Amino acid sequence: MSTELVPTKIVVIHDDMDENYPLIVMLRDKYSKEDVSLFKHSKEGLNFVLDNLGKKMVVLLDKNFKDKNDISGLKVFEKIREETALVFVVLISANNIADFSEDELKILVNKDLFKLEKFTNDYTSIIGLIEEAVNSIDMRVDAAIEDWLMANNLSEERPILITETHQYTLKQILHEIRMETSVGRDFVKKVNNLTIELIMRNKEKIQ
Amino acid sequence: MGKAKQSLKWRFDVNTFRLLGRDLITDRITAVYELVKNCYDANATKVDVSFTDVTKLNESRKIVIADNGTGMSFDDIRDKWMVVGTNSKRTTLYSAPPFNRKFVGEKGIGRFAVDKLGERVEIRTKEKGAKSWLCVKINWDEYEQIATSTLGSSAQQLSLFTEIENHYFYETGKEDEHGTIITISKVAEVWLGNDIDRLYKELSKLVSPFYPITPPFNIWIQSNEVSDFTNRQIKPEPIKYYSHHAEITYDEAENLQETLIFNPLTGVIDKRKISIRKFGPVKIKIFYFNEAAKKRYNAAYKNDDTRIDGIKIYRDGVVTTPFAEYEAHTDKRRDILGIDKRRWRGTFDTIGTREIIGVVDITKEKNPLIVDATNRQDFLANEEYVLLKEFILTQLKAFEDIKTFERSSKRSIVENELIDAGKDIRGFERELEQLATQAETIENPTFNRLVTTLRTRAKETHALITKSISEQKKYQKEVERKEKVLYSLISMQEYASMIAHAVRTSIAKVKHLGEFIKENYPNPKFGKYYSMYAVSIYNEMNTLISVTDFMLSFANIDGSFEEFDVVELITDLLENQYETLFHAEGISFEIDIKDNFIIETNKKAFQDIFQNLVSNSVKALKDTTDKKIKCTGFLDTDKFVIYFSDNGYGIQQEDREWIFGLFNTRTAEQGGAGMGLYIVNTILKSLKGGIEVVENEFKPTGATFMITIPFNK
Repeated sequence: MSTELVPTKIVVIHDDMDENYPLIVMLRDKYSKEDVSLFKHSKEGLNFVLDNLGKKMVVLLDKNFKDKNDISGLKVFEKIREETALVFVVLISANNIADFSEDELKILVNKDLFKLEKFTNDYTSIIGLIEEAVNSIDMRVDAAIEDWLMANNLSEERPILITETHQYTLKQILHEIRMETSVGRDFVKKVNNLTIELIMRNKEKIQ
Repeated sequence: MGKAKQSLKWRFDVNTFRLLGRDLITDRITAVYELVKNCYDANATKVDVSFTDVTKLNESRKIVIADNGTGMSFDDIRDKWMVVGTNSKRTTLYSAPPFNRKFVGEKGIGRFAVDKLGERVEIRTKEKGAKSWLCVKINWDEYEQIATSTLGSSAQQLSLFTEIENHYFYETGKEDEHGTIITISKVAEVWLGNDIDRLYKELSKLVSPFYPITPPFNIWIQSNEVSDFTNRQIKPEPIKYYSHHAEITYDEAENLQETLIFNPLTGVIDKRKISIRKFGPVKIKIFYFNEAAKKRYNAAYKNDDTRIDGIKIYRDGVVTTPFAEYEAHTDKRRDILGIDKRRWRGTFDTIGTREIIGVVDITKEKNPLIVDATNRQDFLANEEYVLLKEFILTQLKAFEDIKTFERSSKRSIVENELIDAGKDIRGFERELEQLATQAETIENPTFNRLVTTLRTRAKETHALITKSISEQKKYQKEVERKEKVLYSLISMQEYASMIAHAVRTSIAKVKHLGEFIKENYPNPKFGKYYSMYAVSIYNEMNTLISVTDFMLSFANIDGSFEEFDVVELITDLLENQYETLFHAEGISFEIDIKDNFIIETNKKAFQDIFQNLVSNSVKALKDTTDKKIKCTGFLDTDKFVIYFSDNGYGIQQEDREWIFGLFNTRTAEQGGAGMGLYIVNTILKSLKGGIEVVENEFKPTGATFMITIPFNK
């Protein structure tokens, strides 16, 4: 089990795996059964991700799907990116990197693909990449806020950010960050600056 | 010897009559055709030609030709129909109004036509307003008997044709009934489906496919035995498979006639407007069949190219040339427009009657000077007709230019240049020839030697160019062959990359399963997975073996292309190669493929399609009691369509596309690797065709695949 309070959702979208596939078995052993979701069809997986945008998520995505009705892994990635940059995506493919076209590579790099790996590699190293993604998410401000809210039973109703037109509670700010609004982005920037400021003025200590 | 003035009369016997008829009506198709033309002349709007029990020589066999025309009076029968050599049709050219039909029937030929068709004839006829139907019975067979029985007897005059009495009687009818019904029994020859089909084809040419006849003239064929002809109206066949088509019309108000001209810049036929010619305005439609189109056409109609039969002239919607005589041998048909004659004159790239279907529509009102010659075998050779002929040939010229254009664009630039060089050198040779002739008169040894040397050189160069042209042609052929192989290679490449991806996926799975065991064994927490994964590894390995087997079998295909008949291939496969298997499995099969289809491709690959389909069906039929496999096929306008069906457990709606993917199988436990339909799909794609699951033919269970293969364009 991971140590953070709010577990990250791990979404596997791959048509060559089933519930008993070693990688799934091991992921569920490492995280928890309910936090690892498997989708054999790309569209179903994409819909699940889009329906859960408010949650911390890592997606393990296959590049090619055999079913003609399925969209490619690359399309799924682009669709996710149209909505959010906060979901971490690990793309796996049975193809060699050399088989990717220039355009495909451009999209993957420019739209912040977290990791790219060959399917023929050990599943342990694929799980390693998922772990890295989970850890990276936990380093983010929104993850810290969510953990705090969980620890305090989400009861905090005090407005902590007051602008000329609105007041925001911590929970509302989390939503703004996850939705990548300017309010959310601005808040993250200020929190980071403030934290450094406080540490440097010896007002706070990190233990 | 008495001196009293005595006279001698001409007489002639039954056989003479029949001999006459045989010369005039050579064929039974012509016989029916002539009778139908008579119906047209009689202002009929509907003719029924019905065949009863004619596929065997039964007692009940008969042919009935019934029209709703004007009918005949007793006088007509006595003074016209029964007078050999009557010329009633020549005195009047047109039938009674409002029809005003130009007579098309041959003069007095009907009686010979009925004789050709059968031994006994009954004519029932009635004019409008007459009280009763006149019925005349003519029994040719009795004439014959009389002729035979009286041979050698003293009463020889009895066999004289003119003295035989034919019975007639009246039957009551309604006043407004009219028409003629000719019933021929004791039909002379058997009429099978294809004979009736031949008649259908000929009759379908009687009326212009484009010009509406008013009042109409509809012909129906009926047969109580051939299902294709149960009450079928004759309609001009739609012209299919042609490669080029053009039509011209006119604008009388503006005095403009369209004419065709080939545009070498665009490679298409354009229309130009000229003033209406001396012979009057005409409408023309021409359909041209280039080599590829003829191939398609022959494939579609089983090499029966009698339908591509040149240009016919229709007047007011009814055929005038080639005057509707039926001639089974296309080569013997009269070529009154002189289309084929031009070929004997050696004109290169001319178009023959076997490459075009054309219709020229004229009217008696607008083209009054185009008139039939008295022998009715051609038009009167007046100036107008000569001009019309020329005009028609001009239209053909546009298609001839296309033919040349296509031929030269098929050649490479190099070949064209070589051909030009060849022409130049021939010209050069001719000039040298002249020079040499002149040189003989000049006594200048140096000059003469030079000319001789030049001539030898020119000859050598000419020979070299000729050789180069043939080499170039060979090379071109080789290029075309390579293009074909390359095409299949391209699809092979795409295919190889698919296979590689699938194989890698499979290997990755095996690796992950092994990795799990390596990492975790003997941790009891994962106890249930170890044996499960062993089975998975085993199955995955089996799939990999079948994939590599298939790759090897594909590698063994020699890449050669050959022409073969799809129908023969399927029939041979199902009837011979699978006979034992079908028998052992208790599967009954049915093949019903209507048209032949010749295809040029790799035969082995094509066989794989059906082998895979059969293999799938056998699996799907495992639990069916009354096992059936059915394969039907037919030619559509631009493709060959094959349906392959079984009544097995069928395919789920959501799997209809999925099953064509590599490794996608629902029969894993029966050893299915998910290769078969993928292969089928790949091969068909390389033929630019396709396969899909359609609604199952057998109900309630079963699967039907529809395969389509387009014609080569």
